[in-house]
Amino acid sequence: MRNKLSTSQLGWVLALTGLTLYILEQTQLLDLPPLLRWLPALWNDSQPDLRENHDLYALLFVVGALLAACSRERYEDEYIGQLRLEALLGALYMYCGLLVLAILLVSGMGFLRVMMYAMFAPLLLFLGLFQLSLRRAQRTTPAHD
Amino acid sequence: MTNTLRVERAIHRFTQEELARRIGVSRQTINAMEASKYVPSTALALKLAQVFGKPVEALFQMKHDVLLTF
Repeated sequence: MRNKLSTSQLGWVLALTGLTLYILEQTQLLDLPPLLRWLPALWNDSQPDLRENHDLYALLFVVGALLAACSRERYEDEYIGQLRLEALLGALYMYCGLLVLAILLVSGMGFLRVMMYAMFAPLLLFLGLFQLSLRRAQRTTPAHD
Repeated sequence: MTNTLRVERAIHRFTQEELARRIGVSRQTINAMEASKYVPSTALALKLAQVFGKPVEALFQMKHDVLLTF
């Protein structure tokens, strides 16, 4: 069936849902009860054993972004594979550059926030760079030739 | 690396779409190869050679300055 959700689309839905819920909660527009209350942590030495919802949003984002970035394209071939690998390498370089900048410019408790975003940066950069190179390849291909 | 894919395609009157279908790749791949932005694998080069009925070296050539470095 044509309108079936592809793996990539499912990934986008999950990642955007996680991101939207996180932003809504951070801006205090949304206040959900702890949805992962049932899931015990193996290692928790700082608070009572109660997971906050940002764990769920992070999981949604990571799984979704991974599905969106790594699922097969409609016409998956070796060129697309190369674009994907180049995006992965580019993301690693950019991530290292950003990390070096953060180490130089941020210190103290502010660095904790940097570390939090650094957990998701490689995946986000990879996804962004791959989508950019796909769009560029599509744009430079003439409609009829 | 240079190639004569666009010329061969014109001789055989293939569209990018048709050539892509014959060798099982996307149209973007054909376009990237014709623009010398992408060098295909040996398997893909052999498929192209088969479609055009020519040896691989008739379709793909090393640039002169690259050859001089060997």
